[in-house]
Amino acid sequence: MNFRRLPVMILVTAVLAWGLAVGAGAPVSSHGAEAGVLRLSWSAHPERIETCRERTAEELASRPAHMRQALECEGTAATYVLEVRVDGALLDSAVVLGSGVRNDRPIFLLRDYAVAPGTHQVRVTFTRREESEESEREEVGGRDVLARESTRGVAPFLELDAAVRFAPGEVALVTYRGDALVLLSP
Amino acid sequence: MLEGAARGITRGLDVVMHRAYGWRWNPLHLSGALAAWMLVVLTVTGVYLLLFYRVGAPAASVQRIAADVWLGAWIRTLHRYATAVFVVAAVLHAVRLLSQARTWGPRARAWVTGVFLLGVGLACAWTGYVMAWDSFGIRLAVEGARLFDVLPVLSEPVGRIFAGDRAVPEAFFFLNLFIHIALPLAMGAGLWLHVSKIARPALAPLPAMRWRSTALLVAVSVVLPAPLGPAADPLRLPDSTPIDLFTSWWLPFTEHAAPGVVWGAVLLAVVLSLLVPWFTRRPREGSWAPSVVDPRLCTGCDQCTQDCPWEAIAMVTRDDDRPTLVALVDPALCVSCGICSGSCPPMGVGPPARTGRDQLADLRAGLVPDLLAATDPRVVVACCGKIPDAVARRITAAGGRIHPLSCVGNLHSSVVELMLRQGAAGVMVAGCPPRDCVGREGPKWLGERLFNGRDAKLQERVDRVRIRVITVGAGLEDDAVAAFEAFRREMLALDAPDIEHSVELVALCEVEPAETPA
Repeated sequence: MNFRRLPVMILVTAVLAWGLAVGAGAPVSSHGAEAGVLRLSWSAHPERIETCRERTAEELASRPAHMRQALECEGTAATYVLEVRVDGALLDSAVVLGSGVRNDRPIFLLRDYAVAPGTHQVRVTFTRREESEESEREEVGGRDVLARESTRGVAPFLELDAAVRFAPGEVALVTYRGDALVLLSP
Repeated sequence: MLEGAARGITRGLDVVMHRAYGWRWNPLHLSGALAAWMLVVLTVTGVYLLLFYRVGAPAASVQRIAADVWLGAWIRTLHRYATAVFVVAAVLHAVRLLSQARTWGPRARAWVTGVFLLGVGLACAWTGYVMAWDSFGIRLAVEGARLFDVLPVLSEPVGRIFAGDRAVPEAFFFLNLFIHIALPLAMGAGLWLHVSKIARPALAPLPAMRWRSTALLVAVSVVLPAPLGPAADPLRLPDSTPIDLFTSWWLPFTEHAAPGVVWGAVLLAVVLSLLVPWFTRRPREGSWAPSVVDPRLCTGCDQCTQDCPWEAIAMVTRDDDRPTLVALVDPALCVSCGICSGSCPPMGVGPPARTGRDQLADLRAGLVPDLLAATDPRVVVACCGKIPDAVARRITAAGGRIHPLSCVGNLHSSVVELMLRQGAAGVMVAGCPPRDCVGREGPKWLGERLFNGRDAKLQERVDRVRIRVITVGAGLEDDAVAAFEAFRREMLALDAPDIEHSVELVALCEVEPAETPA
């Protein structure tokens, strides 16, 4: 060992050790922690809007036995408009579609909004864009057609309107439970 | 420019390390081996931590490890610090190779696999910190989910797992643990590929350095334990989080950027890293031309295949009637380091213009006439080309005669013999630190050839007292000049050397091939 070098060795080793410890646990402020967070998170099936008709006896006879379904349906998934207002000011307005190529898979919603600390009136609405139709039969092009909403999905209109207290770094969570939007606060 | 910047960084760090530890103990010369050793430390500490980790209660189990388990806090900290050292060592290893132009041609595979290893290491660190499920872990998990959710891979956004409307499923932690264990296995395979084209890879630091670095890490772990943030709470963002800047320095930046921008930056960084071998490539000519074998001179002794640090030379059957094998250089594997030039007793192999015969011819044309004409004894310094010009100038000013070499590993022992027999009072060979040799093993083989009888060995008749090998490290130039001055004084105090005006070295070495006895 070179004793001339000893002080430098001790100093460099100490700096390296200190740098390692500091660098491996450096306190870094959390992104967005200075404000409160309004989080919307839910998943739900979009309603399916279908138009159906009964197949004729000739049509059924022309099909193999395992394909003889009496009702033939075509349809789409409903789409929704999400609106978020804080103290009356529009924070977000967006069309929400179901996932998948045909948008007929569940809606997955996850959005965060920074909100200034304090108590604010929060209003969230989730509204179906398509007109809701009662199931009814009608004559279309000489055929008997049944318009229906075949699968039960998210309700056509959801609303949450509440005064929410936002603290820095705290998340106020709005989610969908039991056919309603509910607020979960920490 | 890239290489210049890397050279500046490497030199600056070496100066500090040499002044602190000397060139023998500079850990930066073994940064690759240090990174590999950290993988061992990580594996051992990781297995211990795994005994107490529960995927059903990740945060609670890690807090228990830190609070209750015997040595748990230290082992957890050691695991964390070893991760940081792995990343730093791997990056410094890459910078050093870049500074030494060891990134292209046959070394491209090592570079590309090195990039892969570093990337996998960072991914493994990511999963490791998520395992702890503290405020840092959830921050990484949320950021990872945010980035992955823009990729058309999963039907349901991963981010919803951490939204807070339900407990994070145990399956997530199980999958994370699985990845955390599987990635090191991939690193093992990557490490094998990384070193598969080099002979005698240094997979671990020297034993003393290995245990000292481990002891230092243990000491730091005991004295400065790594912080553990509060248990993750999806509905609360703490003011600040203790994050590991070595592995997650990018986190504060990416959190503010759109996922597309982050992915673009990652893609750009990966592509640029993988293209480094292409950016830094050299034409395979001149000083970068691969070695060639003169089959007429090859005796089939196998020494060059043993010495080649790149496994670029193989022994194959001859196509003439001689009963021996003959060496064959694979140009695709040869990096023109020239180590083989010094290994061949009959001087039949080496890069063009750098074989032992070429070295002798250069010596006879350049230095020898000077030595013979000198009125006072001269001390010759055979100097590696990587040593700064300033050192060479100071040695010249102190009375030395510089004989430049591409690498001391190229130096054929006959060259040293010829210098001494034709008037040099002494020969000093100045090389790079052994673990920092661009040719990997130049100083090692030089010492073996001059002093330990390894072929091409220095003949017994040569007086070893007149030969000195020194190492010149960055920042230790004064030591090198002082060593030269001391050596010169020693040599001048000896009797004047006997000068042989007409030296014919072993006939086998210098005769024309046609005259070589069968």
